[in-house]
Amino acid sequence: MTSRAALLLVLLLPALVLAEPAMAPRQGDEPPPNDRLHTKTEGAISVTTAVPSADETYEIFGARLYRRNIQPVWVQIENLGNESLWFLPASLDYAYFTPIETSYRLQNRIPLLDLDPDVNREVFRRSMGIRVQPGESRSGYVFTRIDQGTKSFNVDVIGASEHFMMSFFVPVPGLKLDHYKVDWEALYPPEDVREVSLEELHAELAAMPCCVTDKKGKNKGDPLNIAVVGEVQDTYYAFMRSGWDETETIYSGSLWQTAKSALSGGEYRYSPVSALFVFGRPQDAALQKARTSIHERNHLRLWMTSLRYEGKPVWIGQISRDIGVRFTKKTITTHKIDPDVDETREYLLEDLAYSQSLKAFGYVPGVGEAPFDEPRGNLTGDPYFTDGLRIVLFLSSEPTDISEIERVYFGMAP
Amino acid sequence: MRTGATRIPGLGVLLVILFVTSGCATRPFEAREIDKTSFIDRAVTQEQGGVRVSAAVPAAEEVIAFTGLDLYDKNIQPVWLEIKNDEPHPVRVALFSIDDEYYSPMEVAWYYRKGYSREGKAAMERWLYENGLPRVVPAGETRSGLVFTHLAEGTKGFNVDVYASKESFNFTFFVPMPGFRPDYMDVQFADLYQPDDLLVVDVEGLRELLSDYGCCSRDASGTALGDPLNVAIVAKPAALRRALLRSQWQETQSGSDEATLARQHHFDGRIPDGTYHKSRPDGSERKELRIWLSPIRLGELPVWLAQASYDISATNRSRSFKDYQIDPDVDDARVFLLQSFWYSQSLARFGLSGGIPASTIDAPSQNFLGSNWFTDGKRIVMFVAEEPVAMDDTEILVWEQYLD
Repeated sequence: MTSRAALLLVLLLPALVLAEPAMAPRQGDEPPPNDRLHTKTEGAISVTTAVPSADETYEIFGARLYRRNIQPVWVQIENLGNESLWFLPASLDYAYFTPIETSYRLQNRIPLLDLDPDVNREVFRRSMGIRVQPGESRSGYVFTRIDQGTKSFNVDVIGASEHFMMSFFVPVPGLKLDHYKVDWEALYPPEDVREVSLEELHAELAAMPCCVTDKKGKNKGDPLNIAVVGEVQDTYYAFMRSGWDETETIYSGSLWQTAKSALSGGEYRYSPVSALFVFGRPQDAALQKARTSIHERNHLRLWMTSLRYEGKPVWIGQISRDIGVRFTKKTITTHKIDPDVDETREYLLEDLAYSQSLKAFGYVPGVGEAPFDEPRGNLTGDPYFTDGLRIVLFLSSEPTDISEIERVYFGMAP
Repeated sequence: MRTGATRIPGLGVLLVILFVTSGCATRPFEAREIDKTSFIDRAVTQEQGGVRVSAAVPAAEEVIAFTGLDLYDKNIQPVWLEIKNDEPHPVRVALFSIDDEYYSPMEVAWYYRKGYSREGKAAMERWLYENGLPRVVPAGETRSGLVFTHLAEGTKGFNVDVYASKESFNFTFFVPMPGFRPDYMDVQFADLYQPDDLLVVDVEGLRELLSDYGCCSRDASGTALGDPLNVAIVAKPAALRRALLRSQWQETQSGSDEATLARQHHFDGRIPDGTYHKSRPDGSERKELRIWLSPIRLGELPVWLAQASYDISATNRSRSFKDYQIDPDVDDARVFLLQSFWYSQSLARFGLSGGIPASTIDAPSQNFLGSNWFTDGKRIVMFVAEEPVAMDDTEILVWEQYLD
């Protein structure tokens, strides 16, 4: 074999392998091989979704789609009404991949190599159509960008006189997250849990520590510049809806016992974060939000307090924005946060407002002012400046438009 | 470094020489006051209730002139806003409404940190911090400043939401950019059709006409098959442009290489009257939309024929069009366009007509450039709204009984 022929063979190999998948061909109408189907019914339509993991996706498509940043979502729509329905794939992800684009990506983009029509046909056949006629049940895959941990998405289905907009939160195996196992009820003994009035909430939050600390509680770090009022589930969904991702935490011997990182595809969005401490314990929840066009993230940590307002848990937390240009895991020191932490705090307010998760907001002191010219430092030596306020975000379990959000003054004059 | 320099004296000297000769690390920062720069003369102003918002967008050279920073080079486009609050209470402006991934002032400062003297860097950070748009405008006062957004080619379209307790004011701006001439400006639309050429129809007549009219584009000679004209849009020109900009489709610069492929396609003997494009947020693969004014009129309203296609190859667009890989599934591009209008609240109503020869993935049609396409043979007919329409208020025309 000449070297050129050998090269050609190597180049063609992925396509040849894909052209004849080892698995028996599946139909789009068959759900992925897992028991994680989620069904919602509204009126005459029923929507079922399932998200195959990286390995399950390989089993279905015979290709590592996750490595190409593609996560297939299986959708089934049953139309028991008498109206022709339109399914909008952009509701799952406005930048969804087309079936042929998916096929193109999994064929490694080898230049000069024509698209394999068999692969195209296979992926196309399994994709979800956009029309569902009366009495019909239709299913197939929508190709979205990857979410690990929990995938949150909407499914919008519209008919001439009816519309259905449903939200799904579907766990995806692969990321080792065990906050599902956190016993929130047991965090505080019942006698420590206190319901407070709005005025008391102001006083209590203002009296909480200014900042996170290291494990020994000796050194002060990032300011605790956010407080959240919301049920565990509402809090979790609100951040999911705004595009925040769960993340693994690096520490040992705590509630959030994390296993070794099992990141499929090495998604940078999910790299673990370090533990910071309040109330003598590491964060109860750590979230991060990637920004699509740049490899930078916002980080957020929350701790549940013993306070309840209108029966809902009150959380305190910290948010920071990475502004450092691409950094590697080894050179964590080049990771730089925006010193204008108030700006990041206001970003969170707007972020939750635009995902319609915010009912009301207000401010309390407690962080302590640090002017632009006299910044303080966090645990890794990054400077920050602040007006010293902590924002209090009251979450809503119902979608709330920006024109409905209330500014709260805690019984004081505006 | 200090020990190294001690052991090898030459290295220290070399570093000093490099430091001095490069000169860049000692650059001071010199910015001008924004109020004294000319681009503000182009500000567009809108008013709602007691809130008045003015917006202006400096061009690349203007940004360099008043900041000394080439922000456009890093894909950052500053938008200048002034908010006057005559409401009886403070209002807040949501930066997120302008660009949900806006850059913070200190983030911009971080990008440009290199090359300045210590004082220069501090001055730059302070200037960016102080010239960022404040979020709160107290009652009776005016605030102005910059919001650092992602660069858009051509006319800059954005929303500005101003809100107070249980109240909001929602603005949409389209700010023309100096030095940018969109391709449709080259077309004399009034001269394209004479009154005798016009085909004036009602809605029912439109459906019938479109089911057997202008299936596809052709090559320059008018003979070889191009791509299907699988979209018809009923809209006044300004409403169509607004709908496209609101759903983040970008205009194409007149004469730009980017439309090389689009300009191979002809309808009624001419190249597209306008081309728009929209890239993936995480890549350079992009949708392209080619639009022609047709001689059809729905009463007074112009009807446009269009074709949406998707280049999935993410190639360098200045190269030959032979490098393109077009998604043959043209129906998907059609649906993408529909959704982009629907989700941006620009769609009053829509329906499906026939008019395109159907083909399948196994037996696709081929255009004159050798690209395959397949379609269910339907054409989407979209009626653009003059005012925003909530998604569930869009009317769906039940035309399917007329289709095969």
